Amino acid sequence: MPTDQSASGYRPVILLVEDNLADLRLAQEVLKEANMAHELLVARDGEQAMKMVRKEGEYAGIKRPDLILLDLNLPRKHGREVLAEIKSDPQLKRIPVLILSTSKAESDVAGCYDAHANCFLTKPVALDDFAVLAGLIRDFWLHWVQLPPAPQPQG
Amino acid sequence: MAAPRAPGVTASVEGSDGSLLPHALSFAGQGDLLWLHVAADALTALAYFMIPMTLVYFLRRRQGTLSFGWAISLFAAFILLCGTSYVLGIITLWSPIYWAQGWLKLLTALVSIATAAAILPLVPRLLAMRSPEELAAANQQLAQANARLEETNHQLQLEMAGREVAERELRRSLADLNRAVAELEQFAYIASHDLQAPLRNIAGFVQLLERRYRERLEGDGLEFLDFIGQGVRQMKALIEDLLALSRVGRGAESRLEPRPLAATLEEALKPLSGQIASSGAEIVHGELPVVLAEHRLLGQLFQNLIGNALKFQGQGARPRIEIRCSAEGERWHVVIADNGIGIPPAQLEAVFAIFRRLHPQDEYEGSGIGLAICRKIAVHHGGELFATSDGEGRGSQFHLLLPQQPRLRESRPGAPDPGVGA
Repeated sequence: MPTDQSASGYRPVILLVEDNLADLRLAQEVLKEANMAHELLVARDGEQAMKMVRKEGEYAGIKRPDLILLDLNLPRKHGREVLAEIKSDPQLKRIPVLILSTSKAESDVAGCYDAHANCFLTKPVALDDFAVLAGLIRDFWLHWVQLPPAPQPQG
Repeated sequence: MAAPRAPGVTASVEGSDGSLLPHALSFAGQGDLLWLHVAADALTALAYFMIPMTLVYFLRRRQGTLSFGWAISLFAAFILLCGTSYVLGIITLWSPIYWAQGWLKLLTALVSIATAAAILPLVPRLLAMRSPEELAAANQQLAQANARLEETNHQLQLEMAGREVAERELRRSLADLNRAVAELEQFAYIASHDLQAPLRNIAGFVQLLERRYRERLEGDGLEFLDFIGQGVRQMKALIEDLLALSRVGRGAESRLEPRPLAATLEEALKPLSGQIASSGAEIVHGELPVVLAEHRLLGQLFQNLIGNALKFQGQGARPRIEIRCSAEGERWHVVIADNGIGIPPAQLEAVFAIFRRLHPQDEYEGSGIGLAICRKIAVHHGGELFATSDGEGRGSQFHLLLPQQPRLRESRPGAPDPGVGA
């Protein structure tokens, strides 16, 4: 399904935060198979993710992500902390954050929504299901949803 | 202790005094004989005076503790009087006071008779009194009995202390056991949860391989790929069942509610609809009551048991499953009966053990955990689950005894689902 963004030539930027290489690769493959026009940024831990969304240091030149796919169990900085920092930062809180975790635990789900996660997705076990989910993310978040404009830089 | 004299008698004695002669005259010319009498009488008198004095001293020292004090006093008076009569005997050698001596003798006689009269009734009591030897023996026996008592007492105290120690140890072991069970369940949960992550990857990459490279594989390669896929499916079922087992009774999700059993059954059948349709199974149930239970778990129990009933069937057989429920005392008796392959009598209990399988995996698929989950659900409700069967090939019946007012076996409200994210 062609999207508005691809029609206008804009490739939305997705930040995928995932520490496990195999999980990362699988997610990349699934996103690739979903055939969506996007630019993928990858962070391997919570601290790196924060530096990337804040464009700090070596990441000063990268694009600001339009959508964040965030795993919870991350080294150095837990996904919940990354979520809380993004959602309490006026410059960043508009960016939709989709939690993509293996957890179904009530405490995780509730905690993430309390911290203003935009949705909580449990990673499907079967690849086919994962592919379906990737297609849904593509259609919903990158086609139907009006993504927020980037906030005007302050000061 | 002078006896009163009758006035008439006194007058007559005094009236005839003076005409009498002293004894000494009888010994005239025999001085030795006279002094023999004097010496003997004096010594006897001395002894007679000393005895009552000793007795009086004795009485004073043992004041109040002696049973026969008055008898002893009387006896002392009697001896004192005897002594006095010997003194008078000496006096009458020279001075003829025979009247006084006579009255004294009379007094002595009276006191003697009184003493004898007083002592006679004491004889049986004196006889009943223990001799010092007997007393000593009795004392010794008492002391021994006392020692035995003390010994028994000591042993009792030791035994009590031992029991207290044993009780403390029992309590400690029980706490240890509970902790170990809790830890094991926590371990099972975390382990099975963490096992899912690598499995998800294996499954994903196998599927990617199949999707992209299947055409380039042939013969063995395809077969190996199928085996990997099969292994992944089995492991997935195993992990999911393990997770389900460790989740039974986890505090956060425990909720008792009254709900029609028929509704729970209907919901449990939904995921089985494919199997039911393909096998042409007939599932019937009688009237089912409203039951107070954790219906999510009860549904899982139904699903496992009915799933088993559908699965364990002979080749080409048409499954027939009947569910009925009756009230038995304060419990519900739910029976799930099938016409399947049955269970050998020796295995009726073993089938509930975790990982216990009676058939090879390629004959009847399964993790070997399903019935363990069912039993845990029953026990969690304070109920029982057991199986009966008329033997192989003759179907089996699973009996759930469920308290009508269940009291959930609370499993550590302090340990909710560990929030493991990956």
